[in-house]
Amino acid sequence: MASLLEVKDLAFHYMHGVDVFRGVSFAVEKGQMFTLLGPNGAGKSTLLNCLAGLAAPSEGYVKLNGEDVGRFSARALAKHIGYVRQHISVTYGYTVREYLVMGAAPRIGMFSTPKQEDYERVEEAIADLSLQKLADRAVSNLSGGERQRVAIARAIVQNPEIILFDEPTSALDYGNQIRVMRTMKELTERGYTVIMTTHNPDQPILLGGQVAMLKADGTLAVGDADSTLTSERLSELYGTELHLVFVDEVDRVACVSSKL
Amino acid sequence: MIKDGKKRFSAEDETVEGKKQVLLSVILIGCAIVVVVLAVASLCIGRYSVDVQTTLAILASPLTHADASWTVNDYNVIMNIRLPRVLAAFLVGAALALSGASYQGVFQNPLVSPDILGVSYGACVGAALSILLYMNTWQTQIFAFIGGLITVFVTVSIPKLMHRHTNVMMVLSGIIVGGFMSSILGLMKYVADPDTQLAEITYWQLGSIAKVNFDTLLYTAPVMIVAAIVLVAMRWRLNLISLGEEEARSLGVDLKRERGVIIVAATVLTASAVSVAGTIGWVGLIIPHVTRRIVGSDNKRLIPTVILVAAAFMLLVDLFARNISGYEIPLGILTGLVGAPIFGYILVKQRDVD
Repeated sequence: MASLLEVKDLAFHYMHGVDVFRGVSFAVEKGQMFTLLGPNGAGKSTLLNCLAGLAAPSEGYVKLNGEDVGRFSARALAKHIGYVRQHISVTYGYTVREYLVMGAAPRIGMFSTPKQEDYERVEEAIADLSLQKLADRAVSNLSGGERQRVAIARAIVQNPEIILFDEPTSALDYGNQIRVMRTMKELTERGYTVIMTTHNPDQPILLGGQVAMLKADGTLAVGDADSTLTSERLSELYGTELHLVFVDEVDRVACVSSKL
Repeated sequence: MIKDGKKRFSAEDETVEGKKQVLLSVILIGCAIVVVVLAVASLCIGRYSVDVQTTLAILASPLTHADASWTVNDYNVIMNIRLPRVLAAFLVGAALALSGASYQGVFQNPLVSPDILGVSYGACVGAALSILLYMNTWQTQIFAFIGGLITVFVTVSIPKLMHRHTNVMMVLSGIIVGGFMSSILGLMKYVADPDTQLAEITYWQLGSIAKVNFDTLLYTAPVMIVAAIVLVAMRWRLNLISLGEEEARSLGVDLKRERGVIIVAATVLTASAVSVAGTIGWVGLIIPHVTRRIVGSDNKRLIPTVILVAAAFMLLVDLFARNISGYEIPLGILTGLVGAPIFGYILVKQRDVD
């Protein structure tokens, strides 16, 4: 049977020939937590755009349930794939409620407006992510951490099979990073498939699940986070000496660098 | 942390959107009452004034077939001079503000107005050309309409030719085409016969609905109403498109098609408004801003409200234009005098909030 999402020999280069990434292959199964780990410039965001059907790969393919994502209409794809971006910029003063109901868009016709059931789903998502206090504030006035929670809530309203996260923690303080990762893990427990990009090797260790280690010239390794992440591979990926050490207090390995 | 929303979800939350809808209905009814009052006032007040009772009786006469208790002059002033003018004020105001709000949503830019695509200038060039060619009124309307549509086509084509489909490029393209069109208009005024044509072109350019009659409305109103219905039906899509290209696409918006339909409908409205009343500035820019302060940014509520607020504004401005002095002041001048300070105030307030 076909994987939920299959990426094969994917490459993306600009018209003037500069490679963003190439030779990327991996498969994502339903309900998995899948981390795309790589240094800056490995093309993680572009790769995510290819998965979301927003960018057309130069070579290779991305198949959703066995069908090329390029063949889906925007609306059909939005029923399967949700996208939580790194930064949310909103030009107008939409309130959190008004913003969240936009997640229902794939189910709403071109000449129609949201129905009662869509607003009910918004209230559920508000309760899910404890956004009650923010619900009537303008999204544009929220902090980075609050916006990230609102974006996740909108993905829940959208209710796709797969939720993509582009560097969801990069703009957040440490506490908010941990909270967002906890939320992502809970999403997988509810049956969502979560694919996220990060340059922080501690995150796939914390989240578990699957990891693809990405370099600009191809995939370094793919597999279980526990077995795939090794000191040697991480050192190669980031071009600096890194060590995985077991920390008794928290009962897990952590990635640390050698002295400067 | 995710809690189980389904269990915590209470009946109380259900009414949040419901309450907003009730509030919107109250606002819309309030605006509609203001529009009706202003319309009746516009019919009664003027150099030849008619009392309210007679005005209403005249208005109802095609239905009631009541015996005429009014003079022929009363009837002519109300039905043939002021009524088309009131309808024109309503349609032109609503069209400009509705297209302004739509452009603002579609280009994610609150500083955009119908002028930005150059439609107003293009329509003006069309009208001026027809005046230079000694054409009659309805031909002038059609030329204005064609001029507006051609301008939009050029404005939309420039980013396509450059393979740069960004919103900023579209706005820049509008400025280029608008500037070019207003230069052509200047050239036309330069070659126009100063005794006859120049005055007519200048009058058109300043904006007025003094010469509107039922024939003019018969050509333009149906087109305007169809375009307005399309925009009202797609009002919630404006929210999605205003999030930006990538966000809209990942929410399943068929961006090319939906944005195209909205731009065409908004442009038809602007071109029609210009062909009825010349260039009346500021309405398309400030009315959406003022209305956002009343009902918020959600286009689902904004779009219907904008129509009535703009109609009320236009009726009020026209009432002033006719009665403030012995001479009639062109509408474009009054909307500029009122609009510019209001917009300045909004910008200052906006900065306070930021």
